[in-house]
Amino acid sequence: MAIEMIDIKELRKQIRQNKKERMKFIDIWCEYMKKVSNKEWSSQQAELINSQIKEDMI
Amino acid sequence: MFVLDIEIKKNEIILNEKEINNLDKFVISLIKILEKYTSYVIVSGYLAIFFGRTRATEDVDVIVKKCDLTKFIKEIEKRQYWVVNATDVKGSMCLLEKNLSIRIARKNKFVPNLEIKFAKTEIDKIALKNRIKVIFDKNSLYFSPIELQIAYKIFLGSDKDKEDARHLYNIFSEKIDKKKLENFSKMLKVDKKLSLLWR
Repeated sequence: MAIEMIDIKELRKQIRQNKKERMKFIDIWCEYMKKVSNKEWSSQQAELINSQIKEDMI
Repeated sequence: MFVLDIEIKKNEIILNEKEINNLDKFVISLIKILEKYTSYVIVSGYLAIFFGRTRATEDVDVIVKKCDLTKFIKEIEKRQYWVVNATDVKGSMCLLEKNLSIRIARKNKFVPNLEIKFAKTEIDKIALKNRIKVIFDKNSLYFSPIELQIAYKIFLGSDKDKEDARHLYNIFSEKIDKKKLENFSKMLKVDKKLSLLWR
């Protein structure tokens, strides 16, 4: 099997970019949390958490 | 400018109408037992999650005042929980005495777990002494001061920790004591890294 050359520099750049985008998402989510009721943001968050932590695990 | 619907008093945070998720339910039920035996403070990732961070966790870190937790361990076992990393009560106490943590989960499950350890470091003691009561509808939990957690998360330094710090700062930026944050950051020698909190 031929080994493809990987552009490490490009890969590192992509990782840096991804970290920035994750931080940006946190900013956007927090802005949203401040605009809606506690019930609204927490029900979205509960959907995510409850999908991973089921009733029988608690 | 919009702010989160939250009320902050001297040593209290009031957050109403939060939908209680399964992780919250797990923490509330175990803490109700723990607080009968010792004073505690919840630290680290669960704080960020409690205040809205969009992630779950496998463990919830709790620091307790050094004491004999034998009766607590016996009670949780009676209530269908178990100590994941010890075979019996004596073993659990032995871990705690060695300043290691015990992990408590629902019987035959491993996650999520409540990771309990005795207050050992100066940071642990500051968190316990200055704990904040967070009241949410009919429930309440004691959390570490937000300013300390933001600084500590920067100190820990992984991507996840930095994101937690940014989240907490975003949520509490208008309401936290900036001087306190600066002081805790200096204590942990991360004051030059505070810029990662700013947009």
